[in-house]
Amino acid sequence: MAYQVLQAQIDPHFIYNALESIRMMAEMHNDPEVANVIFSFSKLMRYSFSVNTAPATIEYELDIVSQYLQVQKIRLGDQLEYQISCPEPLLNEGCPQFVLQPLVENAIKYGRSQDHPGVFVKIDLSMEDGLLTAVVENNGAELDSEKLREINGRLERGQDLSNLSSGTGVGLDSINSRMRYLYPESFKMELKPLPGQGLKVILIWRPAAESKGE
Amino acid sequence: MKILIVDDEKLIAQGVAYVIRQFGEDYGPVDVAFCGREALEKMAAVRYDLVVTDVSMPGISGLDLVEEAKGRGLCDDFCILSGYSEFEYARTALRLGVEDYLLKPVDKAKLKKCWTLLAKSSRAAAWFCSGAGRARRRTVSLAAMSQKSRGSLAARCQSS
Repeated sequence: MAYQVLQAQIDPHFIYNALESIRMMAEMHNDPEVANVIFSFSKLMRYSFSVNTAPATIEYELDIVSQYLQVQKIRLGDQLEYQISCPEPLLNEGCPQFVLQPLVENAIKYGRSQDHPGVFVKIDLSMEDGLLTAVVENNGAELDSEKLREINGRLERGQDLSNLSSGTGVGLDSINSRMRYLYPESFKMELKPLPGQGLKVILIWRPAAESKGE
Repeated sequence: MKILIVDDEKLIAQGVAYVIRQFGEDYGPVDVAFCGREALEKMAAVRYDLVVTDVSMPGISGLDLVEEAKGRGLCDDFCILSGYSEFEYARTALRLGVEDYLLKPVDKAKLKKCWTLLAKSSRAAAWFCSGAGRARRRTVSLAAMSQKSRGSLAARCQSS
């Protein structure tokens, strides 16, 4: 454990500088595609390493989601299509870090199968009566109704999902716990099947009144 | 506008200079220096409108470079380009009156915005008398920093 702690203290700025050098090499070799994907990847690394003490915004989280999708797009090509929609006035609303990006990661991971390797991921944000709704959906994942009911019940009660076999537990648990802490009065999280095939994860919270910051 | 890029990592200094030249003819000429000492020598020989510098360099650090160059009146406007996002660095940079604090990987749009603000104020300085132009230029820069200190800069000052 002590060894791991010491190892974790190795300054990640070396990584940013190394990636920036490689990116600039690509720029000077007139290879914008490689330069752009290294830029996206480097931003993701910074995001992953950061312990953000300032409350983040929808704009910041969507920027990271966008960088993440661009890196995934390089890997998956035509097998990944996505759409992000968010009205501009919502960009400054509060959104803790690591809330939307893990859902997008799940949507890709569980939206693809051997028979259907392609996935469409849709991220949609809206606001009504002071309540912000974030929806992340895919067109591939399927969960039987019994399991869905169990997951939604546990999310509502704030219970962990770790002993469910869906494999999605840790990410959803973390989001649910942090958001319930930050927005205890208003936060709700629910998984819903889509007609035909697909799954949507819905997050609802009132960003202005309750935020405790991070 | 004459610009100097300072970074001990040669590829980054040369690459950022290349990216700025790609912005167009208005953005240049762009020189590079690979350490603080070389930067000071170049600044003593050429009056740059803007110096973009890394923070962590062997010998003279980027923040020391800003302080010394400002003290000697070699250049007024600086932009930090760093892999470090620690609050202490950003706070020192703010105290020294830098125009902006950009993180690596550098966002081209933000880099360009920094230039645009300065270019606009440079044109204003050409139209008005130097005193008025200078006052306006400082107002633009401070407005930019004030906005950042309220929002994005604070958000970017994360402990990594």
